[in-house]
Amino acid sequence: MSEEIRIGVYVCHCGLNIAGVVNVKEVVEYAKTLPNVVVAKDYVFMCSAPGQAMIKEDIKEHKLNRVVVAACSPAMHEPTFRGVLGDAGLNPYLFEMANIREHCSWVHPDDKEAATEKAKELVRMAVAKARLLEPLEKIKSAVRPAVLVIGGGVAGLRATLDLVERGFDVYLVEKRSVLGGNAVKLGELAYTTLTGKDVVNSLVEKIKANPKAHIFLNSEVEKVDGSIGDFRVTVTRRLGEGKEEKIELNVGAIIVAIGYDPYEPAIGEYGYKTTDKVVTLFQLMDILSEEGPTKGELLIGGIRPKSLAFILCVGSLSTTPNAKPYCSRMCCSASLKTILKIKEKYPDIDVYVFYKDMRTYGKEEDLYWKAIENEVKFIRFDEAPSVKPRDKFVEVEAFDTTIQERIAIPVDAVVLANGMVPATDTEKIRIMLKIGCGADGFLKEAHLKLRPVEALTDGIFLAGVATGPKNIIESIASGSAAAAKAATIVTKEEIEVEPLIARVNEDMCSGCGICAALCPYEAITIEVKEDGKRISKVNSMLCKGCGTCAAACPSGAMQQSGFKDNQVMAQVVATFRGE
Amino acid sequence: MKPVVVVGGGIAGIQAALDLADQGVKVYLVEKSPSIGGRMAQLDKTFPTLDCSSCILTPKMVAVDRHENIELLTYAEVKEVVGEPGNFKVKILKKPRYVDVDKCTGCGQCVMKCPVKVPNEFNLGMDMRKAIYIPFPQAVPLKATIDPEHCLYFTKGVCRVCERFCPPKAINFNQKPEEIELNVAAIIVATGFSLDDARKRGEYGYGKYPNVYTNLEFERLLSSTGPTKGEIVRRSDGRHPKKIAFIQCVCSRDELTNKYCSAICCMASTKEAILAKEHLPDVECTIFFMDVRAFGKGYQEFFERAKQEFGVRFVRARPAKIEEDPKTRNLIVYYEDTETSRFTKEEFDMVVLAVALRPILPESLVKSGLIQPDNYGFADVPEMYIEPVRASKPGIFVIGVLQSPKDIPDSVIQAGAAAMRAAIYAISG
Repeated sequence: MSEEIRIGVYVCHCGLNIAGVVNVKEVVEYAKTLPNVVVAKDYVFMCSAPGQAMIKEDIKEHKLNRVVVAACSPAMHEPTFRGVLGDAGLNPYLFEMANIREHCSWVHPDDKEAATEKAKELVRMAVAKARLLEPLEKIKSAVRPAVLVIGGGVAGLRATLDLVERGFDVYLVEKRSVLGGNAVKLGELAYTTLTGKDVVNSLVEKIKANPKAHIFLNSEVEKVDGSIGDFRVTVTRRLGEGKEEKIELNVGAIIVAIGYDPYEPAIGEYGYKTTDKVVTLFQLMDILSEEGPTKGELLIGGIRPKSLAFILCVGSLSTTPNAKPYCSRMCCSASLKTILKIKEKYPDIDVYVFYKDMRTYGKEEDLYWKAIENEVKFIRFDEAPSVKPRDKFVEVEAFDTTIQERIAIPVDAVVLANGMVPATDTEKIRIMLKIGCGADGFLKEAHLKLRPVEALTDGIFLAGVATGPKNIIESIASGSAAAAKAATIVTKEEIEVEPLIARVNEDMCSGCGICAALCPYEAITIEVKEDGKRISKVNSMLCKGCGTCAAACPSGAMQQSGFKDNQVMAQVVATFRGE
Repeated sequence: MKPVVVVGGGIAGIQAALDLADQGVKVYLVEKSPSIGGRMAQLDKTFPTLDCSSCILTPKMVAVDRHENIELLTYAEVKEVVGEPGNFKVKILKKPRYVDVDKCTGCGQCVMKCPVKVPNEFNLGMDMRKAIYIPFPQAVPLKATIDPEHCLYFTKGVCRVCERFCPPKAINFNQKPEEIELNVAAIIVATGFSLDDARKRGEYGYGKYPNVYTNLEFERLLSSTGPTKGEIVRRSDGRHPKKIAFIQCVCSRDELTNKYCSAICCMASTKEAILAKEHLPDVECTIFFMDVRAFGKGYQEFFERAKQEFGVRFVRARPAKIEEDPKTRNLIVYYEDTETSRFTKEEFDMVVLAVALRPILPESLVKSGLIQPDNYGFADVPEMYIEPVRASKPGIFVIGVLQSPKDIPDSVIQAGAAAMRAAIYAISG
């Protein structure tokens, strides 16, 4: 290793994000004074094509063998710049990033001088580490050309159908005895005479006709091992009479489409369950469907109501102490769609809608216009209405913010537009698959805007309401989108993963097992060699490079590639010594 | 396996192209302007995460450019489509840039030397670009383009200064339009939207009062690459505003213009008000709205944050009119606060109109009946419950705002869905 270290330092303006606070030119001049730095430059957007081209040219011209970019978070552009190194023929891991945006300009906008000094220190640390970087190679692993879909609602069905049509084996695991999830109970859908059940049936028929589809009803995923490209899955199928069978599957990707539960109001919340004249919207849609308890007849508490009050945001927007803070998205439109179907069949019914914000977004605004044309009366509240069951009717009372008056309306029945809450299984699935969930309890996507169907764990994708409220159309689209992501994996014969993982120096390892006990990804096992020596082993496909094991290892045998002890120490020393 | 054409290089088209290419399908991505990026490239930050829009979009644009399965056809338009699912013939016209893209390095020398100034469409005409230009700093491909409608050589036969100063000699005034014919299995159309003309609501004075802006103009004011380099200043006098009014549902939810809701404006204005507060901590922001449509994931939480953490004021009102004080150029907003039933007027020094989204329908596909407009002019999706992204004709997919107003996550999801469905045609083609 007598190769001379030649480092290029590139300082990004990020428009004004950095340059508005940090004196970029000064940082560049400072970088030029650091040992081994042979070139230092700045540019308005280092991530743009000319910024990248500049680095590539410099690598060749100045024979650079290490590159430091001072810009944004590595989470944003580390892959971009690693690609630049790769294109220029340099090992992509001979790259270090100094985050002078999130860690500097964004948090110190009021002290430009201090921010500039801090940016210099961050660059100095990165350069110190860069000197000790080593080339690394991506780790490759074979891919199983099959997909597991958990959940047989519309999102899971759409994903299954897409993937079997695309030519892959799909294992669809549904815990209930029938496919279709909540959609089968929604009755007629908006703008059509199609029912939720029709939609389900059309998908199920095509799936059943495809030999690539393997459906497991009354089944639950019990255990998932392995990682992207090669998941080993244990499914338990209930056979009746208390018997069960275990099924072992091997898949390259997993789609989680576990759906939702309708919000169940507490007893007494808007009079729920204190009278049979108060029903939820989901119950009403079931009542109106041909397969429902009344075969489609509008009967609530045994009578055909002449007047109905709908209360929106039940279980949503923190309207009651039990309600969730989020918006359930589909209830406004679903309520109006249901009202319009009722008005069509029973034109004499008076309908009152108590709402907080009418959220018929996009083209669904059409339903709102039609409801107004059909003389549905809208009453806006800030404070949740109260529902008082009387002998022959129910009284709904609220302060109408539009007319600034408290009003009480007697109606024959009340419909609570209940929202969506995470499915009961969400927590179990989250832990089993080691994926995240947000404060709202729904599963968390890798990026809310641009990676909405990917989980934080590679190879696992999310469809339908599992990530948050959606209507049927949106759920089905997300089923296809998740299928596309799964297809990007299972079409490949092998998959590459980042080499920034833990590695053991077997000569130094004493096999104490501290690392194995601490690993949150169950990536470490203790192996006993022929000579009886115990050695720690890292499964490179499972390791996420979190560094827990390296930090805990008493002997220093466990080292985190890209964050080795000597590399991190060099950064620490550079911080305080200020060379 | 047959290729797929994606028409439109905004976030929906970009994502569809990547989701197909990552499955091993060859993609032609056709974009009519000189760079991909679309509307998202014009936004400063995005709701509800306040991610810098360029920062999350640029990596995707670069990924498109680098992808071995994607051929990028910018400054190109689809002229004609015939055929059946699995076998479409697509005629594409590549307009001449008058710049040899293989030679151009995007250095910008030509732009600096060009003497002709033209209103800059990327900044909605709020500043000038040159007759030879690179649309924005992160453009992909980063190549210069000559605008023949304004170039002195094309209009008057003189100048050619760019040619003289171009270091790699990339200028070529003799370039001709090029016709490309492709045989593809499926077509994904993501041609996006433009804003409706805010002058249709004349009572708000857009185009007449200088300090009335559209929300897209305001996004450019917020952006460091915008006409004011990220300074919020008034068109009339260059001063920072002290009081900004955001008016929702301009040409949306409106019987005279568009009856539909544009779906993104409530959150976009909330975000813009927060960003205005970040730029100018003392500025007062008021949002005039009919309903707060915070329906997406994390949106209600974002709305609450705007009120509580940033002190954005929300007034449930649809203002009746705006008048201008001719001396100060301030704007007097007349409205009824529907939560107090009070008629009142209030003075602001800047007004931002949340203007409706209008779909941009691709003429050639409409003409041949492959895409049919719905009642509102969006691309119709006849089988919306089972195939939510399929156009009137099988094998043609319509995604993003082209088929209904929607936000970025929903556009990205539809892109994935269309890529999936199109890939099935591609493998059997």
